Amino acid sequence: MQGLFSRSLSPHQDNIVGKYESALLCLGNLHCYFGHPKKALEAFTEAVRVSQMNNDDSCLAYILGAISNLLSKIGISSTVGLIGSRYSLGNNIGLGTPLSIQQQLLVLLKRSLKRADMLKLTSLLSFDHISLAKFDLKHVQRPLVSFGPNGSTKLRTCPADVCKNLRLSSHVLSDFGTDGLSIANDNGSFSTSWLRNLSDASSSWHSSSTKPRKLITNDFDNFHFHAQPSPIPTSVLQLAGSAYLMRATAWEHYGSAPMVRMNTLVYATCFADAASSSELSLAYVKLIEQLAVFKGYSAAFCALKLAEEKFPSSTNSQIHLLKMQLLHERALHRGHLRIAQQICDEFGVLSSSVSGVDIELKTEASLRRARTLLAAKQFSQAAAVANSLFTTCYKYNMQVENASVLLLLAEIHRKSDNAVLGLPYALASQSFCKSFNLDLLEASATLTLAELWLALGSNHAKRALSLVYQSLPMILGHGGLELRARSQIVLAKCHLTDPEFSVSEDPCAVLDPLNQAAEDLQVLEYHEMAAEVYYLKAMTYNHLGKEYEREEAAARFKEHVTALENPRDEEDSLVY
Amino acid sequence: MVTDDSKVLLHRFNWQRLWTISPGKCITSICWSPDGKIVALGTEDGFVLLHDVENGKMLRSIKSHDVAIICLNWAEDEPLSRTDKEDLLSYEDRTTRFFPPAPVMPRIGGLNSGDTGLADENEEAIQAFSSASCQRFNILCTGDKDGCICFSIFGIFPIGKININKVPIHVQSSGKRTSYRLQDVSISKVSLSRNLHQLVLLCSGKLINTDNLSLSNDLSVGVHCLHLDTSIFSNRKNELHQVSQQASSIQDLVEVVRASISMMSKQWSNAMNLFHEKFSALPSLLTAHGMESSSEDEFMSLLFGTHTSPALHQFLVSSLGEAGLKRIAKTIESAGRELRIVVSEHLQPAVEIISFRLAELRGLARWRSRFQNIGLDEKLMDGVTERVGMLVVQVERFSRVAATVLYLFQNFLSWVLKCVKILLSEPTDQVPSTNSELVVIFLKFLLDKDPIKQLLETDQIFEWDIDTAKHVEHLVVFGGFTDTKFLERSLAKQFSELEESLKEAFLMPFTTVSSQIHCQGLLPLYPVTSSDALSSTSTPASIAFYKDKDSQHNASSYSSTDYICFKIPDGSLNLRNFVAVIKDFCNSCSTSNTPSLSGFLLHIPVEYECVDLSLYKDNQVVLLLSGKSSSENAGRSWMVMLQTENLSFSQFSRTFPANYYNLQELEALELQLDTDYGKVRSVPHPLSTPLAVSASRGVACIFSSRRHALVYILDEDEDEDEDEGSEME
Repeated sequence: MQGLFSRSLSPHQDNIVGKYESALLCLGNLHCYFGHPKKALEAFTEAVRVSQMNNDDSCLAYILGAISNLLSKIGISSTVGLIGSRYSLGNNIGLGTPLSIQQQLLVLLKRSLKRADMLKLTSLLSFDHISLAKFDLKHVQRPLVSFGPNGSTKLRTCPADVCKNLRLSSHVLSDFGTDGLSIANDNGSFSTSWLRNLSDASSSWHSSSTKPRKLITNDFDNFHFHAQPSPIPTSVLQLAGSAYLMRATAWEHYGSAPMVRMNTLVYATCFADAASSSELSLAYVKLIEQLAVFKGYSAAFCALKLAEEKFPSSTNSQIHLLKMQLLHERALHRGHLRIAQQICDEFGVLSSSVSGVDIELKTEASLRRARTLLAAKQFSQAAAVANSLFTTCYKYNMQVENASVLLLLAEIHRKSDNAVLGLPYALASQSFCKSFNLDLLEASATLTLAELWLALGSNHAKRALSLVYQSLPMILGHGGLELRARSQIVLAKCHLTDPEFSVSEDPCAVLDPLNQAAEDLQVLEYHEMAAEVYYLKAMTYNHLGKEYEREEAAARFKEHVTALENPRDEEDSLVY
Repeated sequence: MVTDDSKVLLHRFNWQRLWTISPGKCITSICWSPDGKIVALGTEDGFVLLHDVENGKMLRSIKSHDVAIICLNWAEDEPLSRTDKEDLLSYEDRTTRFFPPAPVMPRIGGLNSGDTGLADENEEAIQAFSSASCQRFNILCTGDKDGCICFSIFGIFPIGKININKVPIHVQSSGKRTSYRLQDVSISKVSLSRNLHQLVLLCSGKLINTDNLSLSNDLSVGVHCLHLDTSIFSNRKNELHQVSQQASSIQDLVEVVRASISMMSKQWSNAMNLFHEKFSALPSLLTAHGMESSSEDEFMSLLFGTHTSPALHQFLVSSLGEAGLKRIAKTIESAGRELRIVVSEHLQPAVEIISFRLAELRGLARWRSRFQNIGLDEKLMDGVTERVGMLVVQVERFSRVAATVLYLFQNFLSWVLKCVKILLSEPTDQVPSTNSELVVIFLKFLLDKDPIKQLLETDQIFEWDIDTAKHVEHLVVFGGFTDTKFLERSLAKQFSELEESLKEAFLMPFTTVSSQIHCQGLLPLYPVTSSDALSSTSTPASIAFYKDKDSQHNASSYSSTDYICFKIPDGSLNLRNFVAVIKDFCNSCSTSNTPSLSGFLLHIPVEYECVDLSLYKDNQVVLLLSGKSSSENAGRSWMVMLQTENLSFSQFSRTFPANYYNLQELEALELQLDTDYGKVRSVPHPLSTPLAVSASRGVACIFSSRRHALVYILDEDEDEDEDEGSEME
């Protein structure tokens, strides 16, 4: 390794110089891909030095983009000693204090963007816009220098910026001709693909001519089979497509289920031909996740089978992860805790051991472990896991994850009958969500808050009810089956505990939400909550004096409780 | 603040003229928006025009009626009526948080910069309008000559329409229910109460008994007062507000999309026309040279260097020429740039925001217990959401095809330019390098086809292959679009389908709300003989709602009293020169324990004639009287302000139908101009009809027959007039 960075290679001819930097750039990217952040940074630092020496502006712009990509991917708690002293970012801004890693990332991105814009590197420009959008999604853009009372103290993320950046990045598709680096060359690739399609084209032409309808062929339509090879480079298409994927991710955060689905579908329909398999599988993963959340597990597993056929799995692939996630969720819902624990352990093994690498995977693994422990009613252990997870997230500045960890902590306290302790966590989670515009998570935090108030006694029922009403439009509109059912249950509970409410006067106010919740939970096979629903229903019918319905609800309650307590068919939990 | 025939002039109080517009149609009614920022005009042919007060720009024009709009009433929800329930249901429109400002209509010729300053202003105005109007819930009601009443939230989103001719009126009289129906209705006045609970309207028409048709007689033709129950507006205020807010901005954006598509197709066809015009010379030249080959073959042979036929040579060098070629290149390039701008700045953002707003609406529709009874249907919304998703795919496809085609054009044209330079033996180093393969593709597929145009036309059906079909069907398992045939459609076709389903989805709330507006009561006011039935619409009348004094402390459930004030035309009911004031009509219809219907008649001294009247704040009536030409007071007028509380209301029964017109029972009071019922001012001019009273500013504006406008401050005790009117032409 040392030899590569030694000066002895330093060449004299310009074209070789360009290649040397590019090689370093590739090396850095590979290191980054395989999870060696330190090595990658070394390579990048060297590349920066060389390209600065040779005035290779475009390469420098690319390297800046690559470094920012690295910084955003790898969790690094502090940059001290990582980025070489030769290219210290802090110095350039002229501030005494070292910048936080996020601010360095922002500075790098902005600089790369500026250079790309100047040099008309449209692909890089688009990439930088996407990275900026990614940054804006998860971080608050603080001004680097803020003095005095007028210094803006906006502590919220700015979703409109995300949207703007994504729109700008889509321009790559129409501007591809002007990119200085990706000029299409006369290498005969078009004729090759054309010739390959020729036989198919003529045969299908015969079949189409026999159709009764007069069809028009649009030769440049990418949905048309014998469409002509497009001069748009694949890389450009991939960039344009990833803007849509990024949109879907953004909406996952902001909470708009139809938008997630639509953007993913647009990607899967329009960009499937050019997409890399990892990105396409990501799109399918998103679609399947939506199915699992909104249509239940059977539909999701059905689709998962198809997806597995389409993408032959390797262990770390997205599809495999998704499968484990789905299995874990289902095991938790069915009450198969042993299986859930097993899957959790598998999760833990998947991630790399290098600190800071695969940080998202690690977070998810411990989140799931805490949830499994919670389901097993081992509250103190669950809380310990969640607490350690919180410190990790805090260390790596993962504020968005923090919100969900806090919500989990609130949940743990609620289940362990410590509602008063849970309240501050729920409130903190809510305010995190507010500042990061995580609307759906905020709605569920509000719901948890309502549950906590409700647990404090019946005189808080009014307050809880108003909280539920606040969260309902969001949850009903964009929440999944589980969340919806939960909100309906809480709504019914609020009414039931309210001393001023009488069931006999307005039975529909309780029974309607309960029926709907029962319907949703049936699809989800969630025994614990279904039991709760039927319990509440039986109670209500008891109040109303309807004995037959009461007995029926009670029987269903018993059914679910026994299913929860005696998991009979635990083996088939791994089968789908 | 003045209107003339088919011309609208707006003045400030200091008579500074703000603007003048002439819509070119006869304006039949006018009213202000509750916040005073918009003027609504009703025209003869049933349009409602909304104009910005600041600059007179037309913001919207909505065709809601078929015939002339007689009256407008724009009522806003009382801010006081907020209850704690409302706070709890606070709903945020997330769009502004997640998106940059919505795109506006693309302008044709957006490149000429001299014009932009003004146009930008206009855009801002529209933007401000759509955002400002969403602040508080308000409803514009419009009544027309044929008895239709339309309701539109914020004046832009139609939410209901009822035809008085078809509304059954049930009247409870002595335990027996009778239904009536009005025929040939012409609405003369509508007024919605401030809490949006009740609507009172005056209309003329024939009252018939639907149970027993023989009962109707001559007397049944007359002016009637109807009370409609519009409590759906107040009860479902929040829901309607949310829905209309989303829906009206969706409609705006749909217009943006439409304009974008039409503009793109115009721009592109212009460029293509030029291109084909120039290149069509080639085939004719070829036949002139007696050659059988097509122009495609000729270009091919030029590309592969075999030979250049004399025809092609002639075409390239003389008929096309370098300058002509450059012109084509420039035109196509600028059209392409326009296309690109329209797609990226207007079409894509508009479609994106539409889809987001639809997703929000779909979310609302899921809340069945709240939104189903205003007709927001989940299934329909789902359908629309699907359609908009397909539209996004189509837009993406279009932008891709456009990018490809433009690139090919650019490539081809620079190749031709290079050839021309070679033929003229000029240096070619200025011309950018070209890809010869792409030239082949261009010649083969673009020379006589136009894929961009295909996508912009509605009647095209595209062929698509089995692989794509499989792919799309495959996606259905993953939750993709269930309508797998959508790729057959063109962009424009997809858009029109979206529009259709949007219309269907928004019609649901419209019909649901319309069906929930019922007639609550009827009070025949006075009969009209058929001869003057036509003029009956012009008899002065005024309806107003005042808040009950005694219920003010109880803000959550305040009620309001309605006052109806009108002039009885001479001859009707055997009365001459009478003005009637009636109160508590609504309350008497709905409940029995509240103060029942009461009123009084006012006899105006014989030497005067009532020109116009209006209700003013704090239960006052402003009468505009003018001296009759026969008397010594000819040429002089009086403005009389009466405090109704000082006058004695007497109750009268609503026995029905024994006596149609009970007004005769009312006590007649003599109006003495020198009594202290109210204030009297004398105006030294003969006056003509429109009397405008503004309760908030406390002024009255009157028009003299000599085309003067005068503004009086009503509350001041001094008798002097404030502003001597400016001369109107």
